[in-house]
Amino acid sequence: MRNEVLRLSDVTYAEQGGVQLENFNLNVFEGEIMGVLPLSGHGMTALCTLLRGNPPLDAGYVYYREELVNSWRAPHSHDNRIAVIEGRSSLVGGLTVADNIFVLRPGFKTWLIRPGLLFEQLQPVLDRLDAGIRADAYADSLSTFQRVVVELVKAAVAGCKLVILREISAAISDTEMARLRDILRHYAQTGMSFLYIGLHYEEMTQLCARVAVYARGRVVKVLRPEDGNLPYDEQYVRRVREQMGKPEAAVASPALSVRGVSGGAVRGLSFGAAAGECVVLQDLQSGALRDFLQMVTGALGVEAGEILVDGKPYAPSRDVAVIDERPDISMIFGELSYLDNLCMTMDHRLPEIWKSARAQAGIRQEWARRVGEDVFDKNPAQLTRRQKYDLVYQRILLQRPKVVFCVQPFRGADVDMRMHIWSLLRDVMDSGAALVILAVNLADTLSLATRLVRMEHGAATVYERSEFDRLPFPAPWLDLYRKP
Amino acid sequence: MQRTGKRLLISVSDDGVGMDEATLRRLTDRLGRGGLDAQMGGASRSGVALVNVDNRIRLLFGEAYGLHVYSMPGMGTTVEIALPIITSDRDVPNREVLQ
Repeated sequence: MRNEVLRLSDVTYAEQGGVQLENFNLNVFEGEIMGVLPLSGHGMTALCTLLRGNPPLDAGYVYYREELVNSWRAPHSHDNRIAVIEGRSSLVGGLTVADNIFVLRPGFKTWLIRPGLLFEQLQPVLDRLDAGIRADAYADSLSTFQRVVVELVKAAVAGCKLVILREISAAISDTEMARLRDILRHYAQTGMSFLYIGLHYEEMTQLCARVAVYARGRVVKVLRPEDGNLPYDEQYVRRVREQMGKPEAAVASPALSVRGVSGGAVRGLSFGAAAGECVVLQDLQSGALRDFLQMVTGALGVEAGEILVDGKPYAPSRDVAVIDERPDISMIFGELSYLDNLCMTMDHRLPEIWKSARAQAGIRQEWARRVGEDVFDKNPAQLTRRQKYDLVYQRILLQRPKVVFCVQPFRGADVDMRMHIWSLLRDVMDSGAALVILAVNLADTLSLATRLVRMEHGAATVYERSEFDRLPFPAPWLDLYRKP
Repeated sequence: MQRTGKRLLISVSDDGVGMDEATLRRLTDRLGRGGLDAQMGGASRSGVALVNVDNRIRLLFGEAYGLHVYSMPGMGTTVEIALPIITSDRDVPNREVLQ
């Protein structure tokens, strides 16, 4: 007999006038790590809200630890003791790990706090998890992986029987992910259950005994690892194999040369990227990617070495473009029209673009063939996420930069969106730009890479595509990179 | 088949072609609704048996039990039947319908 920690039965839930979950069914057993794979991300935030806060339902029942905690007949007002761990930290940065775990715990009633005692009690627990965390460290000094582990310990100490992990793998490296899997299994053996919301079926099968495939408000199928690949993954595998089958281009002079660059957490970084190539820059230490990006944007000075674009010392210009993490949020200007958003970085190529209605009409006509006419009449802020990504990437293509830096391009993207972003990045490479992807996790990005540059503790190691099958660390889908 | 503290879960799966999202939606929208309309399947009047079984389970044991159907194209179909753990007719919440 297995106890059910969570059961949602025929749940329909609307938020802000839109149906988020419809006839939603899901159950999680005690000690189980249950995966949820959203083919479309719509409704995942609502699911987390619903599980924690018991808002009024339109239909259905929610059971937590075999007790009815919410139903459409009688909404409950109290929260469930369920923790959500996601990309954003829920720790208080100015407090120590021990304070975050013990003092901020609901029900903590001690009047006199003895930090020494808390550290002494917590340190052995943290040491067992082997994440290099000090109990007296401040939360804002932790790496993302360490922060996730601390939130996990906090949930265990607070008595949460269910923890929701949401898209964690996008924020931590593959090595850390392997360690996190061991930690989750350890807690699962103690009876804690996990709802692991992820974006990669292959990755989830390494951890979850069951994976609920979610699409447009419902669970459409519950899969077990032995059920084989998802059809969506097969499409992805086909694309990667096509990419791997392409002959490697003759060595061209690099559009981007990074030679012994140091600054911030970056030490002696060297690599090159030729036109049409994709270099993935992976960060295994906290802050190196951020510091490198700041050097590219000019916010941080280069202490040593040089960055060359087309053989000339780098200075911020239209020859270099940066695509932010989640460009649909940070790179869309709602107060401008779609056409203004599209053309805003191409005036170096077409100086009359803002004066000439004819030039604008030409651009509109050209892009309408690809994206349709209707988007031009919409407020950019009201576009769908896919349309916003199209807009940003098309702007970059019109800019025709020689080098494009792209920060975590797949972050937060559901399965459908990942395939689309993959195509957009491929378009950037095909346009002749050198693409540099700054990533923490290699899932998705490695499949595009001509070269992988791995930064760890100040040292950078370069792997060519032909060496991917021999990568000495847990990289995703290594089988795909083996030559037939 | 799995037993939890309060439920018996019976899953029946095939490895067939599965259903597309629209077909699955049409079917699952009729489960759990009860009534003659759901059973007759609207205009198509197809798929009576699943709805009928679901209605009977819900009538006998309550809304927390019944059928759930999961399916994806190319990944087969699974029907999950949720029943209460009872050892006697006297535990049936709505016994009078058995008369």
